[in-house]
Amino acid sequence: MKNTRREFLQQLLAVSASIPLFNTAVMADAMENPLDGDNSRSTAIDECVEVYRIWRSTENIDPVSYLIDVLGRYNLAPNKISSAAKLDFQYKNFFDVNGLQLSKTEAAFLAHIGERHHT
Amino acid sequence: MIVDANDFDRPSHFDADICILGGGVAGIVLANELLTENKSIILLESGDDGFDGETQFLYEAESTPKYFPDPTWSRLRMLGGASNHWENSIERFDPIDFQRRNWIEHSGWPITYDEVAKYYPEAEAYCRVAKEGCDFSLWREKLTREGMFSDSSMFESVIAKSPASPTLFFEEYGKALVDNKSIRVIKNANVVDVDYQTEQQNVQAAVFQTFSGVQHRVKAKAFVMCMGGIENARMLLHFNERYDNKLGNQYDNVGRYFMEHPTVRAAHFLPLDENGIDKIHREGIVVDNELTLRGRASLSEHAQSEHQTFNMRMYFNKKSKIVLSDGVSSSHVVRNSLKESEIPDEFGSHLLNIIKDIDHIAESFLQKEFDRTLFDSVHEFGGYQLLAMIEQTPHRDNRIKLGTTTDAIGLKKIKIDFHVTEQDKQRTWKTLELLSKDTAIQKLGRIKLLKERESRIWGSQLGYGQHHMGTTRMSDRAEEGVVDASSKVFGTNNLYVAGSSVFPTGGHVPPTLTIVAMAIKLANEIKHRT
Repeated sequence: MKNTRREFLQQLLAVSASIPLFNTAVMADAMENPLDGDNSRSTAIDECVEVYRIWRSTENIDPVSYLIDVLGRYNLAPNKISSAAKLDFQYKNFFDVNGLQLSKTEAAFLAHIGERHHT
Repeated sequence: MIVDANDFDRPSHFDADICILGGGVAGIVLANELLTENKSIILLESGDDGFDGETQFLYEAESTPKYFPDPTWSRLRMLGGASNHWENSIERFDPIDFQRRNWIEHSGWPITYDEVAKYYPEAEAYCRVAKEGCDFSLWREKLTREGMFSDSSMFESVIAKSPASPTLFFEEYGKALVDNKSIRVIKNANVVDVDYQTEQQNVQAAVFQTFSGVQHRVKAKAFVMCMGGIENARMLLHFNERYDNKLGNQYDNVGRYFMEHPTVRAAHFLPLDENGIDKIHREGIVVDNELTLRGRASLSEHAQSEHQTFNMRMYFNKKSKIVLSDGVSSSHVVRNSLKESEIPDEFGSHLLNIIKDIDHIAESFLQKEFDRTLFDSVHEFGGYQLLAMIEQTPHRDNRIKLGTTTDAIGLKKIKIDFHVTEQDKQRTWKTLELLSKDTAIQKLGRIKLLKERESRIWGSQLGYGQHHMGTTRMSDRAEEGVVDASSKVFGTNNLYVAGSSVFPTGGHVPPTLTIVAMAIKLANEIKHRT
């Protein structure tokens, strides 16, 4: 059965703490390990594409450029997405994905993956 | 003693030191507190000691807003009042609730938190939750992990307490009243009027009658209206029709500033760990089979002031995927709009949700129509539904007023005007956004704000606490209130009001504990004046 948004989010936040930021191939591989059924990868990718669609309609900067900028601003190493996320929330740097309150760094990361699969 | 007004076959006259109008929580506590003072007391109660349909229909309203709970049934017109059907969840008001807050119009009480709080321990004993304190830190050792908000800079954990079985106030405290010779409880006694001496500004007598129409009088030195948040206003408006608004209504405040506790399901919490919310927040704990404790999130007073918002009573309720389903909710939004021949806002988003959650919608239909389950997985854990009881800003146009039709004993029925302001809706979202930030920083999870469901959240899905407050509000000025800091009606020397109708602001927690504390406080004041 399909992956849920909660389970997808759980995967994202678990892997983002440990993998290099721009190694999206690794991220995609991580998403291919299904929690329950074959559809989990495609649903996770769909979520990323949705995030990219919203990012494109609301932001003037592409996701990669934003990530480079924010890591520089927070003075963080490339694999420190979760640290950047915490700082985002402290500074109210939210990104709204259909009501789901993500940090902007998390959203940029997802949008970056979604951009690769967007048609 | 307890007597039945139906047994009085001719007009009767009674005398007492104190006449209490209404035998609900406030009236029973007040009577109980005054028993020790060797004063003669008469308590008039419209209902019986059990439910009676004919009496209950005296609560029927002429009109209420769409989706507002029918006041015929949200109250109980019998000895013990609403305590005969309440949840008995007990919490204290906060100090900030009594303060004037420049971002909340009409806020501020003419008495301080400390003046009321000294009666909270005794009030908790009345409500049978006095076993342990309310301090969350007392319960840490019973938790599976540290309190959810122990590292938070904005939120804190607060405890709501309930006894194992609800406290039915007449059942619990009625015997002491019935057995005491100095008090006479008269049931089936419908108050219909008062005799008010304009020059002396004294209420001389209360008039009551049964359904037969025979009227009786009670003369007393002091009178206390304890009829509930809606009925206190109704009866005071009725009295004022005869006395040209001299009883607390010189400035047209009676019935106005009506407040409820709107309750919303406006957000979902998606935890990183299914058991990341500790047990006391997730489902509560039971102590010694006597007391249930449930933890909830509370926004600190500092954060309320900094962000110019209000507090909400927020619970995390574990729910399945189908209950949290965006698709099921969107299908309701679309259907309700189409019924009104309208297209809902964010129509595209709703359609997408319906498509993505088509299995949830199918399951919902099958369950409702055929009581069958097809997709087992939709009943698995989906996250937490945030249930939030909000504080309502006092608004002059939210009011109880008299209609034109009458009830079975000839009194005008009520009309209710009520709405949740845009300001209160925005404050709700603001407080939830603060919670989003806080739970993310603490790595508990993420929150989804259900703004696309606003039409349902503030419409058909809006819940109510059935807490009726503010309609005879307390103030230090007659221009802004109905009763003074002693709960005495402006323009009178001996008419008082007890209950949540005197609350200038309603806070974000159930009012009963504060009603009891204020009744004890009022008893102390009346003791010195009669």
